[in-house]
Amino acid sequence: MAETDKATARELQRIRRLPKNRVCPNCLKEESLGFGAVCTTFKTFICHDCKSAHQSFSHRCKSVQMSVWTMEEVKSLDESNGGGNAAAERHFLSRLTEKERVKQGSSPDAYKRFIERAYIKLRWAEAEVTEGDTQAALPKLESAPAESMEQSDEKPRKSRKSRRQREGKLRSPDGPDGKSVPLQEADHWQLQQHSQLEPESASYASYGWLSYEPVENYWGWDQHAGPCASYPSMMAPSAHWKEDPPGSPRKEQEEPRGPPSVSTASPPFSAASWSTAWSTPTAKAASLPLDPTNPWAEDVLQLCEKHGQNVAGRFDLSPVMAGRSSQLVRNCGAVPK
Amino acid sequence: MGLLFSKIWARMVSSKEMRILMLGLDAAGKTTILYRLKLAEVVTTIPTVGFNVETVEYKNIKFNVWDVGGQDKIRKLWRFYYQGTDGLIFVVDSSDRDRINDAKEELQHLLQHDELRDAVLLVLANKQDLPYAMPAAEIVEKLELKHLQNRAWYCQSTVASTGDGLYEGLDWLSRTLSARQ
Repeated sequence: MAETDKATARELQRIRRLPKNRVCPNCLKEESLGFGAVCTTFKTFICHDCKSAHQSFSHRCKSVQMSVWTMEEVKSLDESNGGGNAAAERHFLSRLTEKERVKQGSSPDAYKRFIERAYIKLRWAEAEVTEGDTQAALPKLESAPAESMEQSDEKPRKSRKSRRQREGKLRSPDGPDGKSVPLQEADHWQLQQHSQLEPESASYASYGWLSYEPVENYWGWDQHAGPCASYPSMMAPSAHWKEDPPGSPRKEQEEPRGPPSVSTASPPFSAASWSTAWSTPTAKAASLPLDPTNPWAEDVLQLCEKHGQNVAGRFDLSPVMAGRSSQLVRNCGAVPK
Repeated sequence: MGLLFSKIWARMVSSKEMRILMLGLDAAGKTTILYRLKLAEVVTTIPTVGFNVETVEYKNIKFNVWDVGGQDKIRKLWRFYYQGTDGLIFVVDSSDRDRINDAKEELQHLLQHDELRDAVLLVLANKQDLPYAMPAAEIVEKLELKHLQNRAWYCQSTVASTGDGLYEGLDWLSRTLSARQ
């Protein structure tokens, strides 16, 4: 295995000992000799508590002493390349008030909540990021797949989309790039994902050794910090967190959770606006079969009844219409396919 | 008669000891799993230098779990812990798609060692609480576990911070290890 060469180690030590990098940007813990952990995703030098929290979100953290470093990695931590604690504070924590900051010595859960708000939901990130800033400050997406490359010229904030969005795209079976996938389609697909678990695990079980125990809350973040619907709000170039001033009670918790959104061009899909996200007319006019097993089916029907063809035209309601009153059918203006 | 009774008694009371070696890339969650099992709580961890060892008693079996640091510079020390290992726990961060290949290489490499010839393999697909974590079936595929010859293996999805799946993994270990004795 390659070793860190001496020049690289020296440079790393130099950057690590810069005054700003000796104070953890999240909890303000000071370490006079410099921290031993670096979050390379956000290019910060952090204390162990914050490192643990970052790691629980799979943010890559490296150890100064025990990891192998290349000169390139070390250079990217330099302030001139947009790394280091000062830059991260500017970009992710600029709107943070002292009251909201995580207290030193809090429980690991409190640290995790803070890290999630700051770096995943971008609650305190600066409001406007200019093109240059974004390029310099945000973690570069190494090996970004072609699909995310093609949108990179649309809006500067796009580059803030992290790995998770790309994965959201990858896992979406047929969401056409750049087009919104309406709620029902995505939701339907989510159901399918769940139902697939069963036969898959069955086939592996017959193989002998593998069992897949679907873990509760597989989709949700709910366990730690709210519904998974908050994820898309960070992926889309959303202004969602601006509507929600820091300090106000988090709305998301009461909202029903939505499906993972792969929307980029349409109005951002967020927990606060999920009910309007799909009723806004979009270019996409394909009718989607509305599955009666879909948990949202009833809500959709009600909305169809209220808004008539404008909404109902976007769905193929025939599967759920079987056995319903003809009045409802007329109100919805459902056209059997 | 007395002899028979004492044998039965010994069987009921005495617990077996198993030496379990827990490996995996850095930040996979090995230390968190170890202390979740031992203390039933989540601890803030620092990168493991050297090893942590704890005895976890479960279903009348004493698991001596050795948790060895996974940072890249100290991975070459893993081989000093191989000797006498009954079971190998390999922990993977299921949402770290960038490094699943590294994990595969490390795993395939260490399984070739002669000293681990008889060890059973438990793969823990950890951090399943994260959205877009790879499911256990995908981990099996990515780690190429199906190509393994002469090896009892099992893949279990887990969430170390809540403890989900950990005891199911130990269940399999205890079943497999007691069946072979």
